[in-house]
Amino acid sequence: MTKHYTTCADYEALLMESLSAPLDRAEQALLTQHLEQCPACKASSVEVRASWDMLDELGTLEPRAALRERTRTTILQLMATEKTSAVDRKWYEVSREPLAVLSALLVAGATLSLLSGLVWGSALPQGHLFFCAAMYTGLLVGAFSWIYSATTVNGVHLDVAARIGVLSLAITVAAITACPQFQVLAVWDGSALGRFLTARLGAGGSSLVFGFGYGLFPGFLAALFGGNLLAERPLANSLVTGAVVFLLASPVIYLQSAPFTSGVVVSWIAGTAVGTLCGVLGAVRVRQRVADAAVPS
Amino acid sequence: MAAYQAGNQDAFGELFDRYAGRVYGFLIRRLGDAATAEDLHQEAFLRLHRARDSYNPERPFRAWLFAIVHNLVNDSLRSRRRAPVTEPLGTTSSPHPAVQTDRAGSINDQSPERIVAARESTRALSRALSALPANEATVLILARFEGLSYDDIGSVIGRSAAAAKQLAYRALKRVRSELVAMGHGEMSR
Repeated sequence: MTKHYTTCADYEALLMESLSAPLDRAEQALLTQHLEQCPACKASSVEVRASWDMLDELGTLEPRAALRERTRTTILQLMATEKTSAVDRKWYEVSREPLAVLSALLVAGATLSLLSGLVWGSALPQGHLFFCAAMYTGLLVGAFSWIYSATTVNGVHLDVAARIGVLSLAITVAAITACPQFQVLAVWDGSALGRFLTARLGAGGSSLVFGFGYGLFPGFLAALFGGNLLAERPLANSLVTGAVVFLLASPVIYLQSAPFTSGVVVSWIAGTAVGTLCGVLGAVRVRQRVADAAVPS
Repeated sequence: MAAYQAGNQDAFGELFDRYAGRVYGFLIRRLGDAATAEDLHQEAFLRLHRARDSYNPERPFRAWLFAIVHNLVNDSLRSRRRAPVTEPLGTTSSPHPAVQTDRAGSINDQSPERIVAARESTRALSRALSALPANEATVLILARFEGLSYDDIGSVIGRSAAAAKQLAYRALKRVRSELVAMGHGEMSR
C-alpha cells in the first residue's frame, strides 16, 4: 500500500529508500512527480545520488589474513578456557570468590534466622504458612544461585544462576503479594536475629536493618541478572535494571510497609538502591575479570 | 548463533568467516584509520562474545552485531578525544592499507595519472566519511555497504527508521560538501 507523502522530508526519505532498493511503481511515480515540481529537492537529489554512487569507489575492504587469524584465535582460545573452567571448577572452589561466599553466608544466615522465628517465635495463622514456605524457598534458591554462579563464573552458568536468582525473587514477591496479611516484619521480630537486634538497637533500629537488608537482596539479584546486558550499554541498562527492581519491589514495599513508619519504607528503598548498585558494579566487575583473565595478552 | 551461544567453536568459526570482513569494513570506514580499525576488530568480536547470551533470536543478527560495533567505535572515539591527540583522523598517508578489492583491480588498467587521481579521490571520500557525525556515518555505511534496511539501521543507533533515513540523507549531503571543500566537487562516476 502506498504511504502518504506530503512534505519534502517525506520525499527525502523516499529518495533514500529508492537508493537502497527499487521503489514500487506508484511510489516511484510520486517521487518523480515531486522532483519535477520542487527545484530544491531536485537539486538536492542530484547531489545525494552523486554522493551515493561515488561511495562505490571505496570498494570492498577485507582484513589482512594475519589480523583475521589473530581475532579468530583469541575468541576460540577464550571459548576453550571458558569450557575448561566451567567443567573443572567444583563447588568447594567457591572460596576463590570471597564476595559470593560472603553473600551466600549472609543470605543463608538470614534465612535460617527467619525460619527459626517462624518455627519458634511466630504466632502466624496456619493458612499463612504456605506463603511463608514459598518465601523461604525463594530465599534459599537465591542463596544457592549465588554459590552456583561463583563456581562457574568463567562460563555461561553465571547468567543461568542469575536467572535462578531472579526466579527466586519472583517467588518471594508473588508469595508476599498474594498474602498481604502476612507481615514479614512480624516474622523478623520473632526471629533470633530480630530479637537480638531489637535488644541491641531497639525496635526501630532492628526494623531499619531488616528493611535495608531485605531491599538489598532483590536489588542485587535483579542487577546481577542485568549484568548480561550491562556490558554493552552500562548506563542505559543500569537505569532499566533499577526501574525493574523498583517495579518488582514496589508491591512488596507497599503491602508490607503500610502499617509501619516512613523510616522503614525509606530504609527499604535505600536497601533496594544500594543492592542494585552493588549488583551492577559486581556484574560489570565479574565480567571484566573473566575477560581479563581469559584473553591472552 | 544458537550453536555458538551453546559453546560450539565451529559455529563461531562459521559466524566469524561470514562477518569478519564486514566488521572490518565498517570499522575502517567509520574511523578512517587502519591501525585503530585493526585494534578494534578483535575487541568487536570480544564484545560480541561477551554479549552473546543477550542476543535475541527474534532480532536480525546483523543489526545486533553492528549495534555492538557502533557502540565500540563511539567508546573508542570518546576515549581518544580524552587522550592527547598525536595525529588527527584521516591524515595518515594510507587510510586503507588492507586488502581492497573491486575498484583496485579496475584502476590497474589505467594511466599513472588516472591511478593517482583515483587514489586521491578514494582518500578524500574516506576522509569525508570518517569526518561525519557518529550516527550519520553509521547509518550511511550500513545502508550503503551493508545493505541493512532502515528499520534495522534504526535499531542499531536506537532511533526510528524515519530518523535513520533523514540521517543518511544529511550524511550524503555532508559528504558532498566535504568533497567540494577538499576540491573534489567535480568527482562523478
